[in-house]
Amino acid sequence: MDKIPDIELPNIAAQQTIIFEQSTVEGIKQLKKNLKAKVIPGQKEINEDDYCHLHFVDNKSTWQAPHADIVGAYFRHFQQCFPEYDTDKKLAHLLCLSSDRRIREFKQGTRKVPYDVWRKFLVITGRAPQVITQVMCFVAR
Amino acid sequence: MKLSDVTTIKTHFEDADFWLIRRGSMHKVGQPVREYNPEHIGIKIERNDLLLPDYLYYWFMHIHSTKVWEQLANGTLKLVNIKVSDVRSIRMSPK
Repeated sequence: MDKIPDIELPNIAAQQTIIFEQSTVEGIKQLKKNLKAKVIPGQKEINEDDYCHLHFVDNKSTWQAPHADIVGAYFRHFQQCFPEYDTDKKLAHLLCLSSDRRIREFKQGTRKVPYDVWRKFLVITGRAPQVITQVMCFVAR
Repeated sequence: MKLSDVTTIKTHFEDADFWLIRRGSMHKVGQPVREYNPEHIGIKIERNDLLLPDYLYYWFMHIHSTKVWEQLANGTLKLVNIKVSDVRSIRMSPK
């Protein structure tokens, strides 16, 4: 086992510093990679102009949950374009939802999509930009 | 101290903190990933007072980038694998 170097084990505070540095580096890499994501044609299932556009707004006070037709059309289009998310269970996992039942409810309109879930989906599909939260301090443990 | 002294390391380990690709192309094996696959080697930290999962994750990212696993992998040209025992026996040195 002489080919794999030892793991250097600094104290927890030093490990946290390294984690912050590395996650920032990885985050920047991913943000740059995101800019090169492929461009795909939009959904054709519905005419979006017939529906309210307030689900695009990045302001919770004016934001409105998308109509079920929009949710269904967007989700189905995404699932057709990305076969690795072709089931509601896989899409639920991508959106950090506990079960595929939620996805079905959103599509059927029996439950409204929460702001954070919809925003994440808009960001994943390049319909909205990501906003990076400012770190104001490092609070010691 | 070995990595296995402070972690649980095995395959078919959905509850792990992260996983290493055990089987695949020479370029892929040993790469740490956040998505579960029963074939991958799962690693779960049992001593969070000594070692943070994300620190170890980034350490494995670094090691993978140095191509160390390519020297240790067994198999054919297209499909190689690394051993769970190789991961378990990685040594740790307090700084």
